[in-house]
Amino acid sequence: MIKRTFLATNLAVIFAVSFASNVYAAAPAKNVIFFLGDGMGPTVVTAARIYQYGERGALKFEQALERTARIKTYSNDAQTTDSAPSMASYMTGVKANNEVISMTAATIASGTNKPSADPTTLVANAVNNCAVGNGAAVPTILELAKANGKAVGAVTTTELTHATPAATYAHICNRNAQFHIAAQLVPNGAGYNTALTKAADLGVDVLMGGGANHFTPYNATTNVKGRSDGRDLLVEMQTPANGGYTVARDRATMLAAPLTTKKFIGLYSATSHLEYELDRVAQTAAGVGLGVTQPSLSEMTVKSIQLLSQNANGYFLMVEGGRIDHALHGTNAKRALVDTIAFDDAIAAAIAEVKKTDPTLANTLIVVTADHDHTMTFNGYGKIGNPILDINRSYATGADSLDVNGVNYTTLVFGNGPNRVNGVRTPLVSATVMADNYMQEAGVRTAAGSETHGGGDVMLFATGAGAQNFKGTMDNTQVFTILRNAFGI
Amino acid sequence: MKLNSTVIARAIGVLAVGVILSGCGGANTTNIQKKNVIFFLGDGMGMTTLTAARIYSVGETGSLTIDTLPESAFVKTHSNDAQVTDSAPSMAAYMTGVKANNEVISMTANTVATAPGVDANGNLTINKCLAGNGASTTTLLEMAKAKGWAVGAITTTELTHATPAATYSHICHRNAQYDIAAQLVPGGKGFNSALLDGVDVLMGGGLNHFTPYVPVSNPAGRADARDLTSELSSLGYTVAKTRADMLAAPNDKKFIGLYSKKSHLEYDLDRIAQVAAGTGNGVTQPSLAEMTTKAMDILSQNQNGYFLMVEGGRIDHALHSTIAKKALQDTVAFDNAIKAAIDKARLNDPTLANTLIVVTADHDHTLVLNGYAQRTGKTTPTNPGVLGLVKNYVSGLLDLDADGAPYAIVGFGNGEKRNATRAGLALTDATVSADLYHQEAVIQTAVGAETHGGTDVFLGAIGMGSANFFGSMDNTKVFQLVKTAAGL
Repeated sequence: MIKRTFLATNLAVIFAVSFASNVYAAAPAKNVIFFLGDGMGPTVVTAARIYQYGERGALKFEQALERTARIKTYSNDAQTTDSAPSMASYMTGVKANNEVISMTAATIASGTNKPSADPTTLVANAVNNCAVGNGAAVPTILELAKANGKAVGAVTTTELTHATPAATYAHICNRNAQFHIAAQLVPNGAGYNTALTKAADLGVDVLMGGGANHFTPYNATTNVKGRSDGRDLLVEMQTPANGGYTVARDRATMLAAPLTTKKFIGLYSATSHLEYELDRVAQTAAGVGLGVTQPSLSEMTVKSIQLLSQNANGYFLMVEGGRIDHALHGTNAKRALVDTIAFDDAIAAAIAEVKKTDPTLANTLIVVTADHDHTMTFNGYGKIGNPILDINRSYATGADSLDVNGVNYTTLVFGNGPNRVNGVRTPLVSATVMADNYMQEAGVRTAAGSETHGGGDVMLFATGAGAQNFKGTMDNTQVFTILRNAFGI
Repeated sequence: MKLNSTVIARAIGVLAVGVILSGCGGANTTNIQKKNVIFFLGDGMGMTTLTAARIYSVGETGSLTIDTLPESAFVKTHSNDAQVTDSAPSMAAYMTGVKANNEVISMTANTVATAPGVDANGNLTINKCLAGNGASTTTLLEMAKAKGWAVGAITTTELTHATPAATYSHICHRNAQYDIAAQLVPGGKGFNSALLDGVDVLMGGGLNHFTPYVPVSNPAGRADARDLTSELSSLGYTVAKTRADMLAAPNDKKFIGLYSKKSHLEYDLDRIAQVAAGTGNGVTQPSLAEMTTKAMDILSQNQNGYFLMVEGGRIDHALHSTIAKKALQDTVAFDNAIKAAIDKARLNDPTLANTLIVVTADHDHTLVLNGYAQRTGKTTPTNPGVLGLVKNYVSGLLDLDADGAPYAIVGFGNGEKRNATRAGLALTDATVSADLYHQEAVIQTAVGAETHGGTDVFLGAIGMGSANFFGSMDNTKVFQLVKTAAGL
């Protein structure tokens, strides 16, 4: 007994000392920026690094974000999650079923709960069929930040109403009900998510993405994917009583928005997502195409930080590199890697902007992660310096690596996807496989654009206030708890 | 029991005083308690394999011991000349901090890998590494030895295979396994003198690299007629050839255990089945967990500390064969060894304040997990789990590919099995979760020739100095962190 007491005393001293130092180190973060690379699994991270900086280089976020953790991504009903419950896990700490946006685990997305087409306009997914009582909303970190007087924002390269951004500000039983997700953003409007209100401060402060059609009324000739309810949400949001939003439809308007802007919504495409970065850059250079008037994710991020940081209480910002996922679904590795680099650049731009006022990130937590993996994999044994998108060339001889039939192959391939060659594979040439539109080969054939997500764990990186709490292997729901604790809310 | 707990309590008391003094910033506490480092290397155990092994063993919601390690990092694995490394330079990068060419064992970056030649018996006994072809680089094991620690290297592969070899030998090509073996014998021809009085604990398979060639009875034996086991025995080593030998061995002598006549130890899946049936090579082979704890028993006799490398080496082999089941079971066996080591280390060092345990992989493979599978839970005799076919998360029915065929959750980027067409494939859970099933690949290779993958790998750590393991790092930095944590 004496010995045990002695031991206990000593241990108590140790714990007291270490605990005290932890408390000291874990000062609350005033600001949190959460970067989500959609589908950016470990192989995508490695391949993007090699694509842009070579094997010996490093992505900007790998250098700037010194803390790392490994994240389990499965959802409540699926080993392989989709972006809705995985992002909702990060944002709410609750693991729901696939396709459910920030609601309880019991919520059912399937069957009669799926949205349906409007009988008159025939616009798909216009009718929300989530049954009353089918699950309940769970608070998001964005809502909690708002409730604590912080400015909040959600920025993406996808439609603004797509699953990832939606999981920050909306609650609905099925991610495809995008028109209703949009309505949740409109203060005082039907379907508004009142958790986005803090006293007289109505709505999300900064919103950016694509897909204006989910906000504007259907028109048989000019807006065939528009809202069947005839509402123009952008007009509603511009009304001073509904938040007095500044509405931007292009890069120039966004850049011109003054810092005094109260609320901001930028929708940089009429329908669908913003352009892939590869295309945006090419279109901008050529002066033609939708990408010409679209900002880069870096520009969107910096502008958002500038607007949100006008709030003296701090801010929460979610930034999604959303089209990494889309390019991977298309087994088009080149666009996925270029979008990953654009995402990486946005992270670096954000850190540079934040450091202007918070040079050591003592008040700002920055987190970078992915919602799930894909099935892209990285064949051996290529020579160092061989372009990652190219035909695999042996480290030993520099000659093409060959399959069992003597046919060469690419370094990157996918577990499943549309380009499934039957019989003996066809010899490949560099010009083909390095081309912008090349779709890597897959083992299991899917429809075009339907490569599936993967079930592997993903990486998380963090820096700044509270970043040291991200370590080890954790469930995606634990990330929410750390974010919340970092905020001290 | 009472005596033991008193001793433990005293040890902790001393340790606690040491930590407190250290915290006060004055006293040098390095001599208060011996330091231990255990480096676990899961060969080819990439992140997707880790996820799959978790689901296989404990289901999606569960945690392997690896998953409970509090510190974590991601590691870049490329070698000096290859985007996708092999085990030689990647393990050497961990052990020496120097990134060499593929197939080179713990030598400088300029070393040219030159394969050994075949002797009259058809064995690769002729070392073709030329004098002046690179230079040795010092390994963590050698540094520990120089500091008076006990050192060990244990594996489920041949003891002379690339990963263990990178801890204790230096050679321009990994396949020169007979010369690698000779580097272990103090005073013998080819001895690696940096090992001083010799490696204290050695375990693995492949007795043939240590014993003379004999037609029929040892056709893959040494051409130089040396019996290295006899030489080691005369130097004071216990030589064990079975699990029973190992368990009975005294803890105060140097130890070499070679549990297979030739080639690697059995896959854990096979070892378990053979033990249950009472027949097969696996019957007399220990588990990796048993090897690990025995190694700790012997090494911990040294009052300065020890360095132990433990390899789960056949994860890699099963992946090369695209047999996911064996890879996952060997990953679980590896995880069990980690758990056994942590539990044992805590007996004398409850907070692991003087024991660093690092777990990582040397490189990835091309295993992928296809979607969108419903939750499968762990694999049981009646549930294929992650080894089964993809079933829809809403309906529970088989998801079909665009050719109308079901497909397994696990696939590979390349490997020996590729169907000319998938149309009409009538796969069942029973087929794809069988012990010998080869998962389908995108690119077809020769048998057993699935390649490594180039993706970063996971590193987990616990104990002394483990808090310094975080971030994205090159594999050579791991060497620096272990060296610093251990004070080597």
